[in-house]
Amino acid sequence: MKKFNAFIFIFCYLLMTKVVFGAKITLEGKSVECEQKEYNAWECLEGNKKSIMVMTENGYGVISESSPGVVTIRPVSKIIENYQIIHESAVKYPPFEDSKFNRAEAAYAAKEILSTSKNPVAKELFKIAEKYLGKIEEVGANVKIKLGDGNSDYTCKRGETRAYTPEEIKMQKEYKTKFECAFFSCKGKDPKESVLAMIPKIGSTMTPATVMVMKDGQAKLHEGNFKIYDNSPLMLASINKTDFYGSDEGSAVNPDLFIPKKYDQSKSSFIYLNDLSKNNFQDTDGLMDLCSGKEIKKLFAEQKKIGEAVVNHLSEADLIEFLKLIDGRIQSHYIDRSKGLTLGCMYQGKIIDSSVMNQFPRLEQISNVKPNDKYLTPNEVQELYKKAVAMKDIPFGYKYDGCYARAHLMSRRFEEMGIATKKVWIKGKLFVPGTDIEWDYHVAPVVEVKEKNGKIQQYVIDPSLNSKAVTVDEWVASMGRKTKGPIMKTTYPMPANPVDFQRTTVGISSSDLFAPGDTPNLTEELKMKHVSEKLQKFREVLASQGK
Amino acid sequence: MKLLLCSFFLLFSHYVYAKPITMDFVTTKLSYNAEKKYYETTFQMMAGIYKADEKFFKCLQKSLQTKKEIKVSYEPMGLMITDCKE
Repeated sequence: MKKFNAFIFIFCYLLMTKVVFGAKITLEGKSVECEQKEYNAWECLEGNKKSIMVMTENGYGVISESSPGVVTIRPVSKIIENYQIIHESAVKYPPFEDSKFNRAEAAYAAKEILSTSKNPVAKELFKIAEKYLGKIEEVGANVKIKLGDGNSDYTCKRGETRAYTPEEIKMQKEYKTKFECAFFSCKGKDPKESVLAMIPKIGSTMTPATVMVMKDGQAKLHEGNFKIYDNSPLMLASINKTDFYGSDEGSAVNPDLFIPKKYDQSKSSFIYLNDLSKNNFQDTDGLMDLCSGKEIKKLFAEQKKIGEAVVNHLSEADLIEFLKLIDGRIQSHYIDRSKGLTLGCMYQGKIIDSSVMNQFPRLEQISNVKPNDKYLTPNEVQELYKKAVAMKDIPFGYKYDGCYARAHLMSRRFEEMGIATKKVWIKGKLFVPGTDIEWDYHVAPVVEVKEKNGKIQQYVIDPSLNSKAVTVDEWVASMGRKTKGPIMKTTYPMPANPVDFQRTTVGISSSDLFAPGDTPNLTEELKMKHVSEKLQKFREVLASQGK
Repeated sequence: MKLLLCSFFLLFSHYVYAKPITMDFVTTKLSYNAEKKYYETTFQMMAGIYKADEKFFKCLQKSLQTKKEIKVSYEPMGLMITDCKE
């Protein structure tokens, strides 16, 4: 009996260990048995062929040798371990499509994931991947592109590559690679269409392939749903990309709201051209720079022309400010007016998100400025300017930064003199003419002056910029602006993104506010601590310059 | 005479060279200026537009994504970033 019990115990133990370390997975609709061998390696058996399941960036995948010398990674949709579902993919991934690009991508991933594994199956797959990567070919000079709609086939020719610099020749030798123009000019059935395709090197994970179709001054960028073929029987690439530019609920503002309604049908083109415009239509990766030849340059020029029209439209787009509580702060952003009108209630001409409604007393406090009943005379305001200049502990000569500290200290000192003080904010792409000084925003104290004709005028005291007290309009005019759109008057908090719409914003706030955005946790004590620390550093800079 | 010249150069270099400032910043914007071939960045609260070489891109970008402070050293005249540490 004892022997029988011992047998039952051992049997149960073996069964349990098998159940605990074994897993049943669903792979491409089929059930496959896998056994965990290492922390990130489960050995699977499909028929008589062994493969390895691993955790990937997207969940779990099975690495196997699909054909001699070729590894693939297939996504796992479900894992059942110990009668419990431990993983179920929320995304339905498309099945692995065999192409030169996908083979290279799988080989790179397999090499990286399996590099530390000691499992013999994993080691064998690692070797296959490494060998495959050692003989990757270049994309040919002529390719064919088929867009997913089935009606658009293009014959494409690689743009010429310009002469290399000595540095580039050295780098190509060092990294055993070849630099080539990655852009192709394509022709389809419609003679009115101009098509520019970008096809990276096989195995490059940096920039995915795109196709830009331009017609009648409009552009449509295809970032997915197309296939590329060269002259070999194996497809070059199948580009599957879903529109990632969806809503971003929760924290930040839904990026869709920043896209003018006019571009809703071609969001990806808008984003791409808008990004290019930020660098004056020069690419940051240097991909376009490698290309030469009339045909490809003509396509670049057409793309730039359409992009410039997008920027011009942005500077004229009908916008509205949208206030939302983000990271505990009331933040303002310009969004498309037609999209914003249904998002919440209107306050001071701005749309208020429901998250701000709970903070409404604070919004009222920061966005309203108390009316004044005491005014300076025109002579008094110039005297006040002179008093500010005489504040030797404020380093007005250091103009690169620190306006918020100077403005706060001056404001408090003016208030100690019994003068009601506010602050004027300007936000945009600003510069001081004739210098290399550039600002994201600028701020200075403002006082009210009753002019001889009885008119109340706001004057800015800003010795770092002006040689006397000036009106707000004169103060704004004394700065250079690098955006082509209009100046928008607003109230606090200042919108965070005026430059994205080629705008400059100007607003007046109470003297309590310290930065262009809401800073609810910044006490007066902390503000003054910032002021003294920053001004001390800037005084030291000026002293080191002998100023 | 040599001592006098040395003292003069020492004094001169002291006046024209402002030593880098190091501060804790949170990146709020990061974009590439293709014309000038450097990155332009802004930091929370700060008003100036700071300039950075490509080698500091990752450090600045990490702060932009995580909203966490980084230690940035920069030349106060011109705002060119000379170091960035997470």
